[in-house]
Amino acid sequence: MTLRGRERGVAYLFLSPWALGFLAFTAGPMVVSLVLSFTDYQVLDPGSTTWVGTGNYRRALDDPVLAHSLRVTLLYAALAVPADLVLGLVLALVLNARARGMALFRTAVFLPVMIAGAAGGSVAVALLWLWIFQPRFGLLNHLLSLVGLPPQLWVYSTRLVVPSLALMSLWGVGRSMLIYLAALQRLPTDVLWAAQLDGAGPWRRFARVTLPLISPALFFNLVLDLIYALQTFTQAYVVTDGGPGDSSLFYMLYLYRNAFTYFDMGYASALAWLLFALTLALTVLVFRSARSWVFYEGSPAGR
Amino acid sequence: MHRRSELDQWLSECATRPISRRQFVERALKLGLSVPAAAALLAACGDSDDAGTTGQSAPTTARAGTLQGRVQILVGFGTGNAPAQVPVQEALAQAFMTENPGVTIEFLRVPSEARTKLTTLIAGGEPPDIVMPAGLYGISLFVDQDVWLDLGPMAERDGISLDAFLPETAAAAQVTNYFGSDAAGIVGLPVGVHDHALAYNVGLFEKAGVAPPPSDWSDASWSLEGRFLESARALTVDGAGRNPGDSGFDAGGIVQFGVGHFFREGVFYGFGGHLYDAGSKKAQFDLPGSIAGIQFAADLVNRHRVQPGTTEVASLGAGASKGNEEQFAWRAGKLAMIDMCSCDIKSPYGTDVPFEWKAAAMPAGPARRFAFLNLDVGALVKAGRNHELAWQVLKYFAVDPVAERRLAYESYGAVPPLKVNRDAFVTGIKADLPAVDPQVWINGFPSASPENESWFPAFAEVNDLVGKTFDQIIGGTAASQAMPALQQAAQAKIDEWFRTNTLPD
Repeated sequence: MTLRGRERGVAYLFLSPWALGFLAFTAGPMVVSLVLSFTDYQVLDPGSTTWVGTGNYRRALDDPVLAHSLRVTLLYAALAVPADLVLGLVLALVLNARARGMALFRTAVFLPVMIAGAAGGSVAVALLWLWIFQPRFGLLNHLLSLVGLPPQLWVYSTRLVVPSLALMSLWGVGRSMLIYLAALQRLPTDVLWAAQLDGAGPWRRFARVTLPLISPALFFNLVLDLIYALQTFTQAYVVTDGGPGDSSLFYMLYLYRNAFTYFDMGYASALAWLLFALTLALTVLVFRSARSWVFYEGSPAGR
Repeated sequence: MHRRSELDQWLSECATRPISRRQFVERALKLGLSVPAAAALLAACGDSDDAGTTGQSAPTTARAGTLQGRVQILVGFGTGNAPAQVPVQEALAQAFMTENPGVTIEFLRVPSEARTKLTTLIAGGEPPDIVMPAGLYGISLFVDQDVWLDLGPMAERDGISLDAFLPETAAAAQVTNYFGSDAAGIVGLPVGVHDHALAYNVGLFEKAGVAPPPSDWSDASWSLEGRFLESARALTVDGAGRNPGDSGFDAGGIVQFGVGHFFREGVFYGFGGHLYDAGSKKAQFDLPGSIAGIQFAADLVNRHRVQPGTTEVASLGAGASKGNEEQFAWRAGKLAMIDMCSCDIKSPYGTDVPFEWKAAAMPAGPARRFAFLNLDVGALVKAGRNHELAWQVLKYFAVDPVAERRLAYESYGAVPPLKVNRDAFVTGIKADLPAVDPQVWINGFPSASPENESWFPAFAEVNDLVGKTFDQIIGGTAASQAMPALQQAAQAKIDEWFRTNTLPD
């Protein structure tokens, strides 16, 4: 065997644990769920499963609760994604300054991510935010009272529950901040100096030089935030259980109820694949749009 | 005559050889003996332990020592996992395993998400053998999935009749509407029964000069729209000491509510509300009683201002963990009356409360006096691998008088369902909490019903709709608008169920 062949063999050997895990626990279940989405599979009575063709998908098109849950999820995404992108960038710009003890501040901002996970959806954090939202004694209403604003019902209000959960998602802003920070620290200083020498002020340097140069990081954060937002589950499950009424019935929560409360696993599988298709479509749109606003160093024509 | 000769034979047998409590009870039930007769015979048979009062259990079975295998009991469909409840369960299991060395009993404790756990265990081919204790609501959620084994044939074979249990529990053990009104099937053996009464803060009543509520369940003056509402008004106080209806009453600054932790469904039934009619296969949400009942429940919150709404509960209970806000508010003396399940007497609702509290009857609605009856059963999972062994273990926990009493009262804090143990709850509470009169809960049994938990077609889906609609009504939507919509939506779910399912014969 040639050296190249041996190297390839060793590479596959080291890759195989991941590949086997992926096949067994990700790809396999995905294929199975795709098949199940064309059946009326009852998880506790698999023997009675029958093929229903596209019945589950047609049912989804005619399901008003699903349409409502999709609206709730998209509203949440429309609020949470821009908020995370903007706040993460602002924090990264601030924490990119050269000052004594900056590492401590960077750690402090990233620390909540260690508790919440990348998507910001841990049960512990959800319960903590329940206290922050508490109408009479919560931290948020206390802050409002300090500036003379009236208290709000937050997650107890049908109007404010989704914005409140979007606010809660900012607990994980340290993740996007870290990615921006890495991009900012790799900025070529000669380009910024050149812009400064040409008379560009701070805002112009940021808008015309910094932002285009970190656009790949912005793009990466946008894609991740979008996917996380569409998959939001824990916050709604723990904090509101979809309420008040159905005002925070996220897509994933509705999917979960179909699977494990109504035992309608076939329909739930179809919902999972529809969400996958939606996520894919939105991601493709973002990728398509990236051609016009994401700058990759060394790419032809600068883009 | 036949029964008489069997009885004679049995008496001669028990005079010549020892007989276990299990054998005793099974044979007594088979012969249809009354409780006093059975108790007298137990004494006559020389069993020194008075069944149902003292002593260690003797889990002898007809196959004692010959049983082999492993039985897994899933605990999580209700009570049973509190640290104080575990040792009794473990001790009873150990006693059975000592008597039957070939048997291993394992408890699978699932403090939350037990329903999902059961689903995944069954789907994964690792079903538990027994689910215990399981409330009827949890049982009902899984009826459509054919999860439970009908215990009727094995009970009949072994001479175990639901007649051995308190009548309220026996009826409830048959998950109404599914196994048939002729009591043909048994979904589980009762292992604990609870009902609800009203608990009130004695000091707050005295301070307000309000007469205490009656403990007599037949007192007609104690009605939801009458004395109960008047008392609740007098016991609801804002920061300046004013009551609802007083001029200047600050509805946003109430510091003490007349009533809390008071289930809207109880009011719904008290006004004649119903969920489903098995005969016509129709949802019942557009009945006048159904609409008036839930509207009155909402009025207690929004119109009369005597009961806290969701956000007020969250405020009153600030400092408590999620879900325990009302318990916290009651213990803090901010709620004058609460609905108290007998299962809560030995929980922080009832013990170590920093004021004197007493029990009273639930107030009557215009249609009936209603209290919840919560039955816990031990149910066998149909997908389980060893039904016979699981049945023997379940029988030990549910039919052996000593084991049943210890499990029901000492572990679950419940009324033991076996008739022979009917006094264990009263004597136990009097010994453990002398200030509490347990007889109030016992006297409430005739008014208690488990119908809110009884299965009907599309049970989970319709209950979801009911919960959301009731939330809306409590939130301010008029019941006259919301309930017809609920009726339509629920009926659609039920009709859909009948399109793809049939009820068993």
